[in-house]
Amino acid sequence: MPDLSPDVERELEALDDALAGRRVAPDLTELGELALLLREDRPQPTDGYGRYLDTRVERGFPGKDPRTRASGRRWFTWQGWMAPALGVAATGLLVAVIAIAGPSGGDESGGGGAMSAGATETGAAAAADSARSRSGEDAAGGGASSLAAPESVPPAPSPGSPGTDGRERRKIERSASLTLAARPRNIDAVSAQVQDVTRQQGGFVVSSTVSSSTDGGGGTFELRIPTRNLDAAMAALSRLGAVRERSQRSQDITAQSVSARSRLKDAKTERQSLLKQLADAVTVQETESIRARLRLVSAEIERARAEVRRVNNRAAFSTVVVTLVADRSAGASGAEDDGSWTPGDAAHDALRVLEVIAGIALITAAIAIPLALLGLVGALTLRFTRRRRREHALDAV
Amino acid sequence: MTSTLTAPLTSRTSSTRLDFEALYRSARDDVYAYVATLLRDRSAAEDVTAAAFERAYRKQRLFKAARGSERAWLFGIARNAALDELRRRKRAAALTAEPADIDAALPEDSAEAALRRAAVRAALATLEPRERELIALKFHAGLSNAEIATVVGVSVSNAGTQLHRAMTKLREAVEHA
Repeated sequence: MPDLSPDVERELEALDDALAGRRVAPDLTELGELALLLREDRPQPTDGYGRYLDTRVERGFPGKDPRTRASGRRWFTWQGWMAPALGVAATGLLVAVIAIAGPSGGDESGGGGAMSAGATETGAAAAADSARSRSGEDAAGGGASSLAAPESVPPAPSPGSPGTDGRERRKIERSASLTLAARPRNIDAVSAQVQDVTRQQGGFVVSSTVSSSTDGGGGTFELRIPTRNLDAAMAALSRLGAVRERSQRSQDITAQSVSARSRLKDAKTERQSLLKQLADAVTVQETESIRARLRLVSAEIERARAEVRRVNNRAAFSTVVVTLVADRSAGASGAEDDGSWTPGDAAHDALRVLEVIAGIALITAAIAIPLALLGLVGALTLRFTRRRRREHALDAV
Repeated sequence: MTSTLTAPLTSRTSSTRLDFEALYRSARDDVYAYVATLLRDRSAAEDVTAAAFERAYRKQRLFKAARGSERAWLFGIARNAALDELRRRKRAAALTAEPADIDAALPEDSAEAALRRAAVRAALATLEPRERELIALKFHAGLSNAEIATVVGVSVSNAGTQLHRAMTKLREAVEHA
């Protein structure tokens, strides 16, 4: 007791000496006697109470003590093991939530053909329109008008409207876009597979751009696939890599088809009429005039036929834009996997698993640590408040 | 009072770090004396003592020797239980002290000793509750100054200073009684 004055320290030692039965300095005899008197006069429990308490202790305090009205027994008693158990439970719950909600980012490696959640109809429509405008409409038709610039498309009549010519004869134009991820070393193989699938489905490649390197690469393919095989083709293409985005779009072009056929029919009718007039013509001037008119109508017929072919081709073939991107983390797909699982694949998979675990642990820590700090502050505040109230109870006696 | 504990308790507690049986045997009457002095109510003291030992029994695995002695740990629990009782009384606004029980004279007392004892009890009653608590911890419970410091949450020197101050007041009160 270095902070005590010598006199205080001496008197405290005298108290201890008296209680221990040691000799006390003569000038502190009275203090020693007071200490002994205090000790002898302490309250004593009754024998009955002593036996009762001994029995309670012997039995390990079973049930509720009917006498402990002052025990302040609470419905919940905090146990030491509850803190780590609560922490483990909270962490497990957190990991479960993250594991369930986490993988919805569109990274569906494995080439299962699942559609990306991030695919948007607007983006798909834009991609299909862009592809159509670049490709020309009659690539399959081979006609003279195959390089015709895309025209503005009038809005299609609503289904069942008077402008349509029956559901069974409706013309539907379909387009699709697909973004696939493949490992850099597999870019060439997947590119070849894209062309194989296109050929197998009766389609053709309008344009393609492929680049490959050890660090990256990629490619873009614009395909024309028979509309009746579009679904099968999309399924087959999706199996070639990890699908990152997939979208499809359809548009009713029945009105354009009807309009083109009507123009062709009108032109043919006019040509028949002109031919009759030519047969009946008498003067040279009259004949020349009719022949000039016939040339114009013949050109009109050719244009109308081309338009009919173009519209029919838009309905018969669908434009598919395949974008191939290089990604080291992309899993082996059915097309690019040669069936062997190499040690490199194993190491890559193991690294990926560790990355995921580390990510989950990081997120868990980011959530759990602030919660734990809040809990700690709350517990300390509660403890401090309870202590203050207890001390206040002592002051208020 | 003679302890009546039997074998089962020994076997039950032999595996724990804290020897609860030994602690109970050595401290039962001390805890009661301390609580009774603090509460000045025999009935309440019995209840609080039982509650304190029950709490200690259920929390014995939480005892850490590095934080203090077993007795200091036990009296800390008893103190909290006693203060909870004081709070409960305050809320109930029904303080039912039983000074007559506490003030009962021992039958073998001589007249002079009885007078002296009565003077000390009267003087003790004039002390502040905190001072009376220190007296109880020192002389009724038999704690060292270091253990008292642990129980009331102050430094050892502070506990010694407070105890000396309480004893000085007690001596003055006895002289004027």
